[in-house]
Amino acid sequence: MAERLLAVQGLTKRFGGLTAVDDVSFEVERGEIVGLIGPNGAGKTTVFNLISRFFDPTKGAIEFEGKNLLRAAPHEIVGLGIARTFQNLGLFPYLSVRDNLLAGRHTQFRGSILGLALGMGREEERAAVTEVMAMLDAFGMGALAPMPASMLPYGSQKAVELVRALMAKPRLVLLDEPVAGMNATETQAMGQFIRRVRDERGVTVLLVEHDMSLVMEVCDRIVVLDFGRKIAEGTPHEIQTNPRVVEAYLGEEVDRAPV
Amino acid sequence: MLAQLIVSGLAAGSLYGIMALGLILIYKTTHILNFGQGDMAMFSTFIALLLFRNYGLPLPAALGAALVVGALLGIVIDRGLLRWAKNAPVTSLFIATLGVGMILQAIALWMGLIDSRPFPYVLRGPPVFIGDVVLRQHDLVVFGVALAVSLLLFAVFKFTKVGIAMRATSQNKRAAQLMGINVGRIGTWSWALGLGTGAIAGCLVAPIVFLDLSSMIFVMIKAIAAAVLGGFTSLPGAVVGGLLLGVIENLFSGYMPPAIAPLKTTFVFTLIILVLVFRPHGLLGERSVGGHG
Amino acid sequence: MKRIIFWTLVVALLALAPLVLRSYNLYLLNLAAVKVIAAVGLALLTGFTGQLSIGHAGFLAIGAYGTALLAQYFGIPFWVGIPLAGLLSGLAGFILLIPALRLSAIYLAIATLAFGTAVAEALPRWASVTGGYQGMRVPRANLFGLDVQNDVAMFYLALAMVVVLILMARNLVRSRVGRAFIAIRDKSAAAQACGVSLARYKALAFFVSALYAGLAGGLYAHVVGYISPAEFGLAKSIDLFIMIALGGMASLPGPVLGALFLTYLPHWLSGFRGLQSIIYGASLIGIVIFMPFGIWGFVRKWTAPDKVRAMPRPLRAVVEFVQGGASRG
Ligand SMILES: Nc1ncnc2c1ncn2[C@@H]1O[C@H](COP(=O)(O)OP(=O)(O)OP(=O)(O)O)[C@@H](O)[C@H]1O
Ligand SMILES: [Mg+2]
Repeated sequence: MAERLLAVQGLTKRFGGLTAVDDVSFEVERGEIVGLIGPNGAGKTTVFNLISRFFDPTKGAIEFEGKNLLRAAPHEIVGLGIARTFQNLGLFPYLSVRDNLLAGRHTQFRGSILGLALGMGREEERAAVTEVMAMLDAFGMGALAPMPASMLPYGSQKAVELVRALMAKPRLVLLDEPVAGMNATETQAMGQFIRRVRDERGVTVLLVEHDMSLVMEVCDRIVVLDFGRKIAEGTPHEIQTNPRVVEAYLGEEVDRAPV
Repeated sequence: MLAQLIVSGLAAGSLYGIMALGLILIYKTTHILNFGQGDMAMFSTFIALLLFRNYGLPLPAALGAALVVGALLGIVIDRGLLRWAKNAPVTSLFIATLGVGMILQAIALWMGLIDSRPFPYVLRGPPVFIGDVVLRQHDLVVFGVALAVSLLLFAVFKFTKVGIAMRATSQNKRAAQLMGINVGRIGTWSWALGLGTGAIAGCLVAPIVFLDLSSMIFVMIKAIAAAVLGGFTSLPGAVVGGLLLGVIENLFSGYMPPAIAPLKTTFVFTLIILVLVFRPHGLLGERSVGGHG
Repeated sequence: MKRIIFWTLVVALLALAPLVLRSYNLYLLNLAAVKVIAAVGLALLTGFTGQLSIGHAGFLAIGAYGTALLAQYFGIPFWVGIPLAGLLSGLAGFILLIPALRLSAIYLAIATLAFGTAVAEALPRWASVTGGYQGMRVPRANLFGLDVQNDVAMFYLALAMVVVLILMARNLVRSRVGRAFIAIRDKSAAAQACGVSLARYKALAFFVSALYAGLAGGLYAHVVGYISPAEFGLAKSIDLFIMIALGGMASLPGPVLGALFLTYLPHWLSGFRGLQSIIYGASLIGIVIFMPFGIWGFVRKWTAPDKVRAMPRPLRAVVEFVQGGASRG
């Protein structure tokens, strides 16, 4: 039996009068790829932001590996083993790809700040660069290393952001719309990429995505939100045939028909 | 004593309030903190002084001219300069306004503003007594003008097309654009009104502190403080913030022991930092709604 | 390697300057060093970390008065007094941390303005101690009984401080600290998701920046030998800001260039009142409109055109941050 990694219990978030997330509960097991889907404004990103501790939930509990996440500050989340990407790109635009990845492993650096000022961090920095380059090469992106992140095409930025998330050696990554704005080939590649992340590195994935073909293809299990509520949960097949899900997406599909 | 301190505080506060109104008029629609406001007010006021002293214009006409110069300056700055910097981020435009201020200082210097110059009072006469509170006649003028400017701006924002468009623009630029409002023109209007108001403040402050290259900068700093107290986006907030600031300052220097009393600006600013920390949007400011991602 | 040789040569040549330069020129260089140190510190805060400060003269004042008072009343020699006063200034930097954590950029700028104004107002207060508005004479610098209060000795002190402090800034900027600073400036949410504590690194930025300003102030006290409150007003804070904006604030050469520019320009233009303001004013406007990367960015455009796009535009980052809530809708 697989082991429970993340448990979200009765999670609720209100912004003024608007309930963005409404009593949502779900679990993610180690080694799974779980999809979190729903129409625009369903509350998916808000769930991510709650897990990342950018907001305090109005109600509810979040546990990761048995630890209460709500005790952690936003910057401590990655140290606990959860890395993430952002819906509208979280790369630092003026840092090179290499430096972005180095920033991604910020928590792995040990040298004291005084030591760094005195120039004693060189050794550690060199080791880190080697590690970053190895990671880039592993995903065939070595050539991008010196480029400023903002100069990359959108698709590459999304991919680099995912690799950056991996630099922290997380056990869970939260991916917010990794293929938004990509064409079919890029989407395909990203799908394989996500699979590789799980298969080769054993990283569990929680995936928010509007591209249904990708979600259905890579996810083991899917949680569906609508107006902040969980309306369904199950295998891709179960979700595709769930009338409530179809209803929630009706009218939505018309204007966001996949390209 | 208390009543006297409060009333004089209100008089000083009215001046801060008028200056703050000018700042906020500009900030509301353009999101530029006009750091040259002090220099710009100094410039308009100086022109009034020149016209009055050197060219024999009657005082009311000279003051009117200051207002016009202020407004024109606003138009020139917006049309002639900020237009060019359309792509520059708003924060760096705040640096550009500082640059404009420096250039105006140099021009004023060349036009003869070398040392401190006395500036004529609009009304000068024996002080007025209300009970045992003493008021300079100038204070009455200040109260009157502050009230008039506030009411006028209120009316502009409430009833005129431009005012309504300015309100719409400050609330949501893009929506205003979609509604067919020419956001650029609104920006120009804001600059004209803002610097016009600044000129009024300048002409009221100058008789009290005399006019030199930097005498308005201190008023501007107080006005920024007043604007912060009021929330930086609210016109009534600016006036209330200014009045509050004037009174607090006066009470502080009136009641504190002489060793501490001169630290009134420090006290006021500490207060403001506290206000900011606990109410990041000021006392009367509204949280901007619906902007996030 | 080539670079190390180049810079070693530059420093060595500078070290020979007292052989050829007259005392007054050395004095100017010393003043330039003061500005370089303070500007580099401010660039770390504003250019790299995106935290606007227009009250930095307050920290200079703490460093200058701290050094002078320590020498005057406790007989502490300058080589202890300057670092001690710098440290004091650094600690004072934490005062701005709370506003920095709670406020958006414009309000933070106002809080720093408040800090600078408060210091400027407080300085003349204890007139019996600080000499009030008249200012105070700084006790002569003394090295183990040897009087070193002269332009040559101060030049070597200034040179040593500049070299050490720039190297330290460079080390920091090239480490995880520099990346954390830039991350906070450009995308604070993503920075946190990478594990960067905003509180910790903003605190560090304020501390280091105030420390540099304090050290610069201490050096200033001994270079000039006389300090008064008027030198640490709003105008000085704005000068510092102009230096980094002009030079290119998100780099280390930028503030150095800006500081040199603002030391020598007034000197060359001292005969023409007003012209200096015009040039400052026009260059500020020009920078905003035509050269958002500052002088250094302009230089790089010619010497390393491929790297120019990679250079950050801190002001844009600051503004996106400011506007986050205000006008994106
Ligand atoms: N910081 C916030 N303040 C106020 N309301 C917010 C905030 N963040 C999100 N919301 C609101 O919460 C609701 C859910 O937003 P959320 O971003 O989580 O949706 P989503 O499912 O990610 O949508 P999309 O598919 O468009 O990304 C929306 O109505 C949104 O406007
Ligand atoms: Mg979303």
